[in-house]
Amino acid sequence: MRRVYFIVLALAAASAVHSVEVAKTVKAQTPSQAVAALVSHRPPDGWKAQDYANSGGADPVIAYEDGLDRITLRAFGGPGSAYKTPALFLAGASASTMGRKPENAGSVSAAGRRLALYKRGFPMSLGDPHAPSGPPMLGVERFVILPAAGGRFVVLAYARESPAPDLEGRGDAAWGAFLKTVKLPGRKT
Amino acid sequence: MSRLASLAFSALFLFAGTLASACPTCDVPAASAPVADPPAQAVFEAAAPGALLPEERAWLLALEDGRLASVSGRLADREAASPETHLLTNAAAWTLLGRRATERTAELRARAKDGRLPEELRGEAVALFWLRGTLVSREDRDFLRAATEPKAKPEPGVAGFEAGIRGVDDAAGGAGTQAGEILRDLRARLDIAPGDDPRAGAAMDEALENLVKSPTGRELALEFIASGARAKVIFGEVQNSGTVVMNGRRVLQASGGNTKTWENPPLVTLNKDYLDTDPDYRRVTSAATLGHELFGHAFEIQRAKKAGVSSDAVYYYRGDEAGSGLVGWLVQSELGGALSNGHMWNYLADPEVYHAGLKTNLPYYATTLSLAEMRAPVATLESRVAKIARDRISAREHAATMVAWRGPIKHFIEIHGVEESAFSSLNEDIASAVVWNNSRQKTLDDISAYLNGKITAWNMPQSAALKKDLASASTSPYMRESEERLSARAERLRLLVAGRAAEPMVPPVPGKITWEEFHRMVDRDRKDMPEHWEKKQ
Repeated sequence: MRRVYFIVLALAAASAVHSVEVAKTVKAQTPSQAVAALVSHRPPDGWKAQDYANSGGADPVIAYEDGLDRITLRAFGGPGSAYKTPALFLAGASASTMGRKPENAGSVSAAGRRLALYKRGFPMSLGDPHAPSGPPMLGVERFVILPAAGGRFVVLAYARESPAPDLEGRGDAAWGAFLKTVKLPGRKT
Repeated sequence: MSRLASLAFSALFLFAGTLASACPTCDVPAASAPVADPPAQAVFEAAAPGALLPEERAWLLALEDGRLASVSGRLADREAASPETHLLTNAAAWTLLGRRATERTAELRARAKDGRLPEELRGEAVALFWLRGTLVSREDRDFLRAATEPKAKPEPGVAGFEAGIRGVDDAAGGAGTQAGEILRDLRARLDIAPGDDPRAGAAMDEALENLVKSPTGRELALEFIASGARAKVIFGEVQNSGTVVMNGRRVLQASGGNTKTWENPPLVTLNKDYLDTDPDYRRVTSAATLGHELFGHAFEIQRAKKAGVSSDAVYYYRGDEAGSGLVGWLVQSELGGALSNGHMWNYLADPEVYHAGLKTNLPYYATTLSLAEMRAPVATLESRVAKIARDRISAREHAATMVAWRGPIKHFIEIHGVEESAFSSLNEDIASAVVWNNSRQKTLDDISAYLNGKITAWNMPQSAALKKDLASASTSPYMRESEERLSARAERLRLLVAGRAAEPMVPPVPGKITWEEFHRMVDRDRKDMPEHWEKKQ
């Protein structure tokens, strides 16, 4: 529980502006508190933290950034969520490469479970939104879906804003270390 | 990959290199960007983004027992009369692709029921229409065009949507009459001054008619009329504009238009270069641009003023661009347009990611604010200056990490004997990253200077009223309703594009190593041959 408080305090300090809006639209809970209620984790050391929520506050997000690398925890499945179930998430735009289904990329362990790992591309380095665009350059995101309490689920993702992998693998290492810290409340894993 | 498979893999590249060495063009790196204005007799750049659908590539390579081979991102004819002409030209490729499109259209036509295609086949028809529509007969083109028309279902909770699903083509019934009335009433609210070009009047009529053919356009037209809003619409000059030919269609390569919201009534300008574009492209895209500008920016500023919200607040509110963007994307999708806009997919995946992308895209967007940020504008801009500084480092890091891959590439060429041409896609990505970083640094400098100027101005006593205005607007009923409109439009768009994808994605080029493959090759070599990696590459 102490870890949860640590995360909440760190995020509250890092991104007060984002949390204010969401907290007022739904209930007196910041996005990081909403995610922390479902899953605990240790933030990657030295990464910049941010939290916010989509779907009018129903879909809270915690994001950590370090250069081109981004690790996120996105909670879905609650009232007003854009995705009620993991299956709907997998079939939707958030899991897709511009509408194409995500690729299977093996499996990883998190929170004591073996989870399917998926891979998708996301548009990056985009130009003027008023100008028609051709096929954009794609960064790469890998993600897993972790079922949580009350029909909710948390999407854990590692994205790199580059078409090429990190040669030194620092982001990959941080992602691997991060997954090891993810725990579901009440489970000894 | 086993050792044997690795050897076979390398042999494939060596074979491709042998074919390539007979022709100087084969040694030129393949195009890594969409090819604009391709001359008929130039070599067909099969590896360029959007050049071929994956199934077209497979079809071409299977023709006549493999007469065509993929070499350095082009298609080589094994039975060419001379080595100088062994690469397929654009003209030859268009003939073949037209033949395949005609065959596929015949197949689709046979599988249509009551003139309608099953949903699982509609995607292929849409892709064929937008990519190969200029290569087939008029009859086939009309059949494919019909497949692009929307079959959207009404969504509960979205006001006016049901009224909007009946198109103006349905003239026989009451709905058609209603649609005609909507168009007539909308025109009465507009000062239409298309310009001197004799084509402009008809093109403006067409854009308006197509706009109200889309459910979103019809719904917003009703609201626009009911609210008493007005606008002036013209075709006009847009800076740095031009058109190019892509996939046989002349398309716009610039901003589609803009709106001067400070004029009374707001002035909506459609890029006059639309008049030179392909009719099918213009049918969808000019209507989407008009939707974005007219029912987005021009309408919103009038809704806001009516609600007592200042134009400054709308100008700095980030939802103004997002809401207009959503209108344009909806119209584009509803009229059966291609879904290639990366901003749209980012918004659907995570709106915050879309906003973050815009903030480092152009100086103006860097100053747009969420409702919470409107209550702390200076602190927000200060945090963005810090973010820009981090982005500068990230851009440099991106280029540097891409360049770092040159070492392993060199290793595989020199030590493992892999053909250099197999790495041409990766080398082009690396070169692009270096160029991109240079322009990115300049953009970030401009944004940083703009932000610092705003911070200075907003810290002055004269800006106290503006800051008070922004804070007040952030809690206004108008802004709350605006956020609700964003959510409703995003939800509708999500439903509309469900099961659809951007057409086309870039298939991997046979004979070219992808980043993923190369990463695996490096990992395997590090494991199998650690001595290779003990020294600096």
